[in-house]
Amino acid sequence: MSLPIVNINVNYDDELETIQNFLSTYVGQDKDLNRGFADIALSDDEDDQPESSRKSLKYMQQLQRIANREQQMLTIELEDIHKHEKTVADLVARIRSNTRRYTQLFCEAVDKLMPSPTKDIGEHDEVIDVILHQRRERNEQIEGPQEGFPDHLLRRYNLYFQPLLSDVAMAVRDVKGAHLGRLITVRGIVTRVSEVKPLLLVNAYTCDVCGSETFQQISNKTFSPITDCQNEAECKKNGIHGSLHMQTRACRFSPFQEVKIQEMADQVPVGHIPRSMTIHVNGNLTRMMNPGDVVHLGGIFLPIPYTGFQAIRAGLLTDTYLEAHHVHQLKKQYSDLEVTPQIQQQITEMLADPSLYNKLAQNIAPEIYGHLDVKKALLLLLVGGVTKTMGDGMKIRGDINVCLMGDPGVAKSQLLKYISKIAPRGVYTTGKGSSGVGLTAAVMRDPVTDEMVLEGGALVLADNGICCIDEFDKMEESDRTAIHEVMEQQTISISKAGISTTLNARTSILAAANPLYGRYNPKVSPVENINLPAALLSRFDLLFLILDKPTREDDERLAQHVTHVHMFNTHPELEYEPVDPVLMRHYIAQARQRRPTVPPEVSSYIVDSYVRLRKVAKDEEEQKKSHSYTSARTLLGVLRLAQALARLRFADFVQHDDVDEALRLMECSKESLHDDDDKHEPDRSIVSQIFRLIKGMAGEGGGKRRKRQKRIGRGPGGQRDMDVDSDDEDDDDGELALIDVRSRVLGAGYTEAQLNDTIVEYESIDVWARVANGAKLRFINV
Amino acid sequence: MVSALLIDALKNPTKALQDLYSTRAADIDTFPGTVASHFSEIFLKTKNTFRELPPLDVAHPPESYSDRSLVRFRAMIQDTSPSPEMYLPILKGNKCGGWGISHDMNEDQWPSGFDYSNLRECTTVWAVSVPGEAAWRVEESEYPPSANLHHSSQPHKFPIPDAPHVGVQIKIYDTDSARSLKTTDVVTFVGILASEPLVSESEAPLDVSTLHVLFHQVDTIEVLEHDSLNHAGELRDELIDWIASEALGGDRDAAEWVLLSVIAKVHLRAAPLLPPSLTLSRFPQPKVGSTTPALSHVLSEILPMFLTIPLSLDILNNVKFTPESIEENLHSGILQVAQGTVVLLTESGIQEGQLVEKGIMNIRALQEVMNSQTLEYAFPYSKFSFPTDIVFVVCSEGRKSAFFQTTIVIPWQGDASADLYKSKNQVNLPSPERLSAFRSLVSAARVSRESVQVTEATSKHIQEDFVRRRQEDKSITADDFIHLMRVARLLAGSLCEKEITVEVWERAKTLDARRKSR
Repeated sequence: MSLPIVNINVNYDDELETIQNFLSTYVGQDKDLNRGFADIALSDDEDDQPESSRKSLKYMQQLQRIANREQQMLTIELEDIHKHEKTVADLVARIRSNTRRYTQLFCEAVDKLMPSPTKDIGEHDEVIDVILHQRRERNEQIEGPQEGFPDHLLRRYNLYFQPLLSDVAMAVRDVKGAHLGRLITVRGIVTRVSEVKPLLLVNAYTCDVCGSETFQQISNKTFSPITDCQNEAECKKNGIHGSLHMQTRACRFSPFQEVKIQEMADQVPVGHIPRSMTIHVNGNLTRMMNPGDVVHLGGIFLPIPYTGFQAIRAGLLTDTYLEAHHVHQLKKQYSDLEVTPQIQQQITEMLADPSLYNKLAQNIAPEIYGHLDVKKALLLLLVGGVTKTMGDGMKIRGDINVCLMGDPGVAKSQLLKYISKIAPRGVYTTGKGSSGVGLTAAVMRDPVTDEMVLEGGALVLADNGICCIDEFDKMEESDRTAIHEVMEQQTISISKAGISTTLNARTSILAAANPLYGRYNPKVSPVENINLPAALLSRFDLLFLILDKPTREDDERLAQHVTHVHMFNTHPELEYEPVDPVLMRHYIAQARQRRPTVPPEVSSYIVDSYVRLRKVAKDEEEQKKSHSYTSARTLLGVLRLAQALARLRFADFVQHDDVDEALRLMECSKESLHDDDDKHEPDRSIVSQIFRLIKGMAGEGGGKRRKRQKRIGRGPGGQRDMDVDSDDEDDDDGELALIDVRSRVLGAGYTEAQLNDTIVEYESIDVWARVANGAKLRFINV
Repeated sequence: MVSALLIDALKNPTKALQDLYSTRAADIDTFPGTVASHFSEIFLKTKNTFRELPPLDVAHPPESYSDRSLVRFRAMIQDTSPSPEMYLPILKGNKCGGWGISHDMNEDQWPSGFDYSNLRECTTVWAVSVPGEAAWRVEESEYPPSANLHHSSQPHKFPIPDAPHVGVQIKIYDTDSARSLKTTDVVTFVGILASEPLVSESEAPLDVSTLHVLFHQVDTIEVLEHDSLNHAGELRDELIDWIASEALGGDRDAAEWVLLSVIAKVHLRAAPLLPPSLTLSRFPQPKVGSTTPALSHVLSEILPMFLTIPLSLDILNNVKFTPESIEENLHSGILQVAQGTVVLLTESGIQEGQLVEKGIMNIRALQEVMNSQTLEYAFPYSKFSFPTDIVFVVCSEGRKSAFFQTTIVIPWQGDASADLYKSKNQVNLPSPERLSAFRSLVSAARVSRESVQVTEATSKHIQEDFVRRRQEDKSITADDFIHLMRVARLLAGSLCEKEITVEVWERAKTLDARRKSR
């Protein structure tokens, strides 16, 4: 309570003086946006000659415009008063704590200062202005005790206060009784907006006996109309009860809107239900908010006094609302994170750390052990490369796409969920398609307006963010096609229901997929396991295969971890220093602002590496060992990764090391595929040969076969599956009679025991199952 | 001996409050705290003094009490979103103003005008009877049940549709202590019952029962003390036998798994150690008549909070499972239940048909609760995840549940001729003494499961065991291990033991192996 404002006996006459002084002498600054374009041009010229510059008196100028009926909204910026008075302790503090009273004082002051219009009433002015003009003239004629028109009726402006820029936006739940009557700023998401209704401010009546006009000021939601004529000069004197009739045209209305805002996710303590608040919006501020907007609202927090019967019932309890004075729309993205000096300091400290790259990578999904290279790739995905737009409108994508493939239960989904949480605008979705709008955009009929609207799907929602798609392999064919476009062109084209448009989807894609048959089958080649078309695969900069292979060391570590949790009820101490997720977000946000370039010597190095890669790929292809494709896209991928690495260092140039690390990651991603067949030699074993034979049998039979294949691609969830299932003929097709199999296999020179081994082995990895009491073999299409 | 203060407070709580105000009110800011401590001192002295308070429940609805009587209400907090309300704490002539005292006051007693700075706020929440609270938990009270049937004015705010319940608007004047109250918390409120308009901006103010809280107490799990807890092992066998014979056609293993599941709770969220969900597969369809398995009756006898949801397409497609905020009013869903509730899902009522979007979302919500123990509440333009603690037992006819992936699946292998769908009367209850022993065992197991330790030596043994087995059989995954650890912990808990011993670990392993071999 250091502020010296225990000023209970404020002398409002003096205050009025101060206000008038402020309004009439405050000189605005050049960059004030409130003024019209023309004014700026004028004041530029006269900036250095204050005495002649009536034009640069910010508020007097506006008053003139109001008098000329060119402006309605008069916003008093507290920041201006602050500058004028050089302190926030005095007038500003009093305004903030008793805003409603000061609104009236300012209105009075404005009324006193209002210049006479420099423009005459013209035919294009509204009726109300004509009426106002006449009223003002009549007020001047009237002398003596007779009442003129109330001031309220003569005002044709709305006065608002704009809070100080330093005002911190509060959460709804932090607004307490202590804030009643004060000017506060609240942040929230708009959930409901009522239609704009006319709010009666002054009701006008005429008496049908004496014809005199009576005015009634309305300050509440409800009012009781006056029925008897109050005219002292006529009706009262004569003792006549002249009845009054309302005159709609002479009344003063203001547009009024009721808005509801609700707390945002980050303002609600865990486990609590978000609160909402009623906002009353008047005059020019109406129609400025739409449901779904995130806003900062400056306004006066006020109680609604119950009136009449309701008050008696409620027992002096009241509801509260915020009378809006200032609306500020927000959009939250990377760049809008508020950086405190403390965070800036920490970021500077982090930059000095040589092992920063490792440290940040380890802190991606810290609860998942190992997989450091995958985490590094994900870190680079968060940071991203530099998107370039060429002169001819062509765009080179900077976003990095990563695909994780692997056995169930290797924490792919956790990694995805973590990324979608830490990235602003991260969207998590499963390829099986969520209900309603899937991955791409859809055209829907708006239930409220009954109009066709474009509803963005996950990809559009993740514009400028990261779209994490789980179960990528089970995705609808149509969505996957759309993804081709997104991953290279970064747009989505829609033509549905007569609407044809292209939406932006500048998003990184992080996909997770299970191998064909659900589990990675070491017996078949990686290409067969991956089961995604080459066109799609080449669009991923990095592809990692994560397998669940038992090794003693890993098992021990895992067992230790699990028992540790049970013993001490916490995770074991991390082997590295954890980085606060908030700090991480800030760091990534700042890194993303860099636009590193590639110097010539590094670029030639990249070219050499690329040529080498191509050659290796060609060799491998000749040896039929290739599981991936090296194309021009690979080159771009290396560039993007190298740029992301440079961004991480906050550097402006890509270095040699960056390229090396990018190449290493590429190599790692490839190795994760090769890894396996070095050990297994898949095609040599008898079991595999028998499997191939049987699979060949299942695939026989021309037209039928194609149907079968289709089904494999679609999976059990697909709708068209039903049709296939209902078709008995086709159903048989998925099963092989074991008798046929046996005769064929034995005929090919294998033994009965070998056949049984094959069947059991593949059954254990869920490739097929014996049905009909072991008489048939059915392929399981996972 | 009954204290005079208590009798006074019971007879005329308003006067007791005003008296307290005139003697103690020095500062309006601390007065609500004074009230809470004063009255809790009077009523919480012993269990008996507390039971003197008339209860508010379905048998004793608000209608059966006269205006401004003092009641206690054991309730689940359903909605904390209403804005706090402003009230005038000091009336004319320095009289106490809160707790609805100024309600129905004559206009001449109003203060002539007031300053904003004199207003204070009170927290407003909506509370309902605890959903699924067992009948045996509601103690016998000396107050005879009322014939009045209560119809809550806000039926959409109770999780179970069309079920009898009491829904009351709660006003808490001690705002500091109210701040920690969350949705689905179970709290006992003691306060003055009145009827007041609902806090909302709807055009026609609706009068609802309102409780002006003097003090409140958040429920904690309590161990129901019982002598036979000293022989927890035997008692446990007896309980399993009873469940098996009455509800599961003699399948003891299934009964043991049921017991292990129902004593589970969320242990750690950060790690996470969440309770398992259980499917009783190959569970026979009901032949005729009742579709409620006897398991439901049996479990309701031993569990404090228990719900049976007979799944059907109709329910899945039409009933809300997750809470949703509609026009700033939080509508409840079946899954908005208190922490520690056990839910039995039966799939016997499911017929062929279409599952609409709502049904799919409902199933997804159920699965989400099973997997991560979080429930999403829908708000306009946003969804919020709330932590829950609900254990699911699913009865399914198939090899596995039609809709859900549960952590544990055990095929039922009982006596095929046994009637698994006995009506409540046909279930043989053990003697009241044994029954209360069972209840205390369940409550004790729930608590001791929390504190089960793993010693260094055992942990070493378990680790080596796992590594060895994985070398032998590569189909054993990390998930299997995590699952076994969890089973061992539950097993130790059900035996009321303090730590997981090697013996318990081996026992858990054989139990799980028996299940898998089915």
